[in-house]
Amino acid sequence: MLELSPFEAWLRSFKEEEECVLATILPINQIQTEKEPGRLFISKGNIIIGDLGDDEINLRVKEIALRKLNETNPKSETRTFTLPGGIEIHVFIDVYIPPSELMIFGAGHDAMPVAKYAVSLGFKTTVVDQREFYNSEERFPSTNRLIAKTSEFQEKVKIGQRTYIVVMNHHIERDQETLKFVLRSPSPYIGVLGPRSRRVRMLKALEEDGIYFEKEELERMYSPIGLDIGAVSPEEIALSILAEVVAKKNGYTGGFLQDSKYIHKSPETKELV
Amino acid sequence: MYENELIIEAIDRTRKSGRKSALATVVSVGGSAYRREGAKMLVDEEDNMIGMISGGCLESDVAEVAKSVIKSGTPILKTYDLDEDLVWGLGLGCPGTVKIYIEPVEPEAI
Repeated sequence: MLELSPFEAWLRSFKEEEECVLATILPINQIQTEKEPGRLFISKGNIIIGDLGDDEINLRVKEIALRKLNETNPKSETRTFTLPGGIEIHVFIDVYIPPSELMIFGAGHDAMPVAKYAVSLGFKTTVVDQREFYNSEERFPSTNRLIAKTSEFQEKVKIGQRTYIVVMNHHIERDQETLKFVLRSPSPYIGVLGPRSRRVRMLKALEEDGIYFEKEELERMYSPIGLDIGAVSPEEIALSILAEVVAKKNGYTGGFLQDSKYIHKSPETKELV
Repeated sequence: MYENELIIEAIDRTRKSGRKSALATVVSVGGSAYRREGAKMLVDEEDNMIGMISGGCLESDVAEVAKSVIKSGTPILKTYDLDEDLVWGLGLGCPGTVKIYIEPVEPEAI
């Protein structure tokens, strides 16, 4: 890897799905004098390749890069730095984060549009269900399918910090068993199909089994699931669920854009007109 | 995300095929532009275009610039200052200031 150019190392990171940053000095005066721009590649695994022409700036960009790579939802941006001689340089800091994953527990009929929309939105999509007949390639094209009983989750199911979870087994015991497993995982979002009363019932049953969850664990549990768009059909429900997942992934809270002053500002800085 | 994968695949394919290309990246955005920093488009010497850097307003102009970048082998930074009134007057829906970095991508050395 170290003998690669920063650009090639960056391409390689995409293939290996490793978080990284490619920093590039921008040619402010339209045409750059040198053909090769100053460039620095920084991976989350701390591989550093290239040079922005100044040690101090290399160091600062490296710090910014590593900080961004540890954020949930980092943004690419152009930053300005001043060289010792007083010259300003503009450095574009391009952040690459591998695709998020959507993991659906339950391969029922209504999981099909959820999987389909997730795939089209670019999520790596996994369906977990022990029933081979339901959990098939025909029903869930372009997804990974895991044939696993709840008792096998521990060994077969891998959940990461970017694995968004939808629990829709239509089976209260199986949902309960799934919750036992997923609420202990590092997943940022666990949506559970069904009304509030069902959630209360399941958590109560788990408590009776001696399983208690921390407040932080439960805060990631979204049930009822989805944005409030009055969804009725499986497709509308899937849309409502995915809209919530995308909002959560991007650090937003959902709702109408009408009357909001900015489209792209994060919720904290968004003002009403 | 999904888009990133498409672009990388296109870069890979283009480099392997021996075609020269140019990669355009949105590096700075002001106002209400459609695409944000990091959005990319690849243009090869046969005018194939993959990816989106705006809602359709800048693509054809950037493709022209990409041709000259492929020819010269030198990256450039292009600023589009799309005055809101002017742009709406032209019927384009992409107001805002957008800076696009366009760099040559050489074929893979064999």
